[in-house]
Amino acid sequence: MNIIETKSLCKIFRDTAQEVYAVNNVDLSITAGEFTAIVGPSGSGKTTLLNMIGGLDTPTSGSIIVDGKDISTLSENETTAFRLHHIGFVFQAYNLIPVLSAKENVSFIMELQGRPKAEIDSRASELLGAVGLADRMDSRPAKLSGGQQQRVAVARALASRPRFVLADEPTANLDSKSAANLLDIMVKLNEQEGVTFIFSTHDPRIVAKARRIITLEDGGIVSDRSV
Amino acid sequence: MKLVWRNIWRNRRRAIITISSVFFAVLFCALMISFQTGVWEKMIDNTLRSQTGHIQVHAKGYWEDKTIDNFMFVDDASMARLEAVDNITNVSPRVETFAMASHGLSSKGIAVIGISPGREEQKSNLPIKLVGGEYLSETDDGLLIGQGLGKYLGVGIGDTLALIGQGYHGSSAVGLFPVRGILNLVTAEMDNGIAYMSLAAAQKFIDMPDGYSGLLIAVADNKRLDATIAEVEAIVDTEALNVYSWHFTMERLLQSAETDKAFNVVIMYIMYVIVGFGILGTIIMMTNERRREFCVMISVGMQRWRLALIVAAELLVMSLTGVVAALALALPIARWFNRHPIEMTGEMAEMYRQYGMEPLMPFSVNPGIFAEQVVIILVIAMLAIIYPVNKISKLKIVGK
Repeated sequence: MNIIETKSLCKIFRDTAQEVYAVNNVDLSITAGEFTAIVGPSGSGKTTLLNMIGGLDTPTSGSIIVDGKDISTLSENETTAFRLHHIGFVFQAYNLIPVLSAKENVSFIMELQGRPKAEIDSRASELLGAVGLADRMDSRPAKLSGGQQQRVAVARALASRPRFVLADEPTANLDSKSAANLLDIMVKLNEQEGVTFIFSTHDPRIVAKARRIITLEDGGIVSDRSV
Repeated sequence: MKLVWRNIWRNRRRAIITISSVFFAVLFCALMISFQTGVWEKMIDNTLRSQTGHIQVHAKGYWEDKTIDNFMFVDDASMARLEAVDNITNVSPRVETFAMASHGLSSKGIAVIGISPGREEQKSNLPIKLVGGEYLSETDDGLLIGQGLGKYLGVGIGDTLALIGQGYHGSSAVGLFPVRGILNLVTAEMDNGIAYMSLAAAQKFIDMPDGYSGLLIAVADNKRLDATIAEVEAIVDTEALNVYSWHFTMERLLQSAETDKAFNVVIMYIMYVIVGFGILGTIIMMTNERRREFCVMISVGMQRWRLALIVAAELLVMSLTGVVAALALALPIARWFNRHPIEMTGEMAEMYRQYGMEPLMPFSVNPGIFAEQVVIILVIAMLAIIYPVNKISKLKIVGK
């Protein structure tokens, strides 16, 4: 079953001199449980595509159907609420809230969702345990390494029980050991719990683990292969 | 609130500076205005109790045209009922007119004030101003004059002064009055131009038995003034008489107070403008250094209005912390100096006593003074909040 479907998706950036097609006529379907890498050179449109799928950016034309809903037609507030309940995000620079502990960062999303306190508490602990940070729950981001912060970010992305997780260059700021560790965790979550991951990446280790690789060039899909 | 509190203290030094600036501004302004208001309240209260009364009763038309023909009558029963009103502490009937005072070859236009010596003693402590001779009795036919007037006319105790003026309904008022006592009336204007006589003597002088220029009524509790005025109106004949509140009769004094206060109000607002810019500087820094964080919060599903609410709460908590801390210190200080006023010394204190006033400078504990500081800080905070709310509403989350 498709959880994401884009139809003739375009994003054009205009300046006074010219129009640049960041995403050019992309038709894409993602099914539940995929572990998909979107690859391509810098400027190929990976991040723009991911932003549009995540409802962070609006397409110039075309549609994005997530869970049967065209999110390009939603209002700003509706899109934000949609992201909260349907999409998990992992950013390149971790982007944890610095004044909150690891557990509070994970709990934050569920608090926004208005979940009961007991559920928030147990799920945050469970997720941090799953990413190997049971002993660092009360640490603030500044006290965690880059790899640990990114694992908290993964736990945060999963906290809302999203339909899929979008990860934009999640290993780009990590050393190889931390990157490998993070990747193992995401593969495990995908295989054992069926979490759908979509990455934009340059990292060959992610590409090697991915079961589907979509290659972009100049905003268009030049290859889409399952491995 | 957890997020709000932690965000405030993420830059401890900046939070302390911002809270401190609010604290010191509110403390300074609250105490400054409390002191000034207290001094004015005391001065007005002193003036009302010792001189003009909180309430005045006059015949209709007298206030606009202060002539003998506009004098009033009031019977003894009404006077007794007025004095029995719970909140009334003193009812002083007056006869106020003008006359030419002559002695030998000297003469001078003066104010002649007919008083009830007993009531006046209770009200303004007039006998304390005696520097020679004796005080009047209720049926006395003599005069008390200022020592300046005495010197000008060359009269002393026991000498006789001739007064020539206008009586009721155009009659001539003429009389010879022995000087019973010499007063030190503090201001040159009063000292050189006033003569007191008993009510009976004054009424006889103007040929108007039972006639008064007005009644000066002092009350115990100014907060119950309106109710007391209503009681007075129920007693006197309002067909013929008007009852005035001191807010009307002392309009100029009130204006003087407002003019004097205006200067401090300007200082207060200058101070708050400075504090306002401090708060704005803090909020601009807090907003701009967290733009990326705001983008992330919106990206993961936080509504912009909720984010704006958090930032607004941070600013309000900081501002109110400063206000609450300042008021926690200012209120006890103001309360202390309200109960234990600063006592004037030297010539100023003596002058106050001569006026029959207490030489004290209390602080005011009027809740409005302190509430005003809270409102000003809240308004500043609300204005400063516009900046982050505007920024958050326009924040572009792509490109974070």
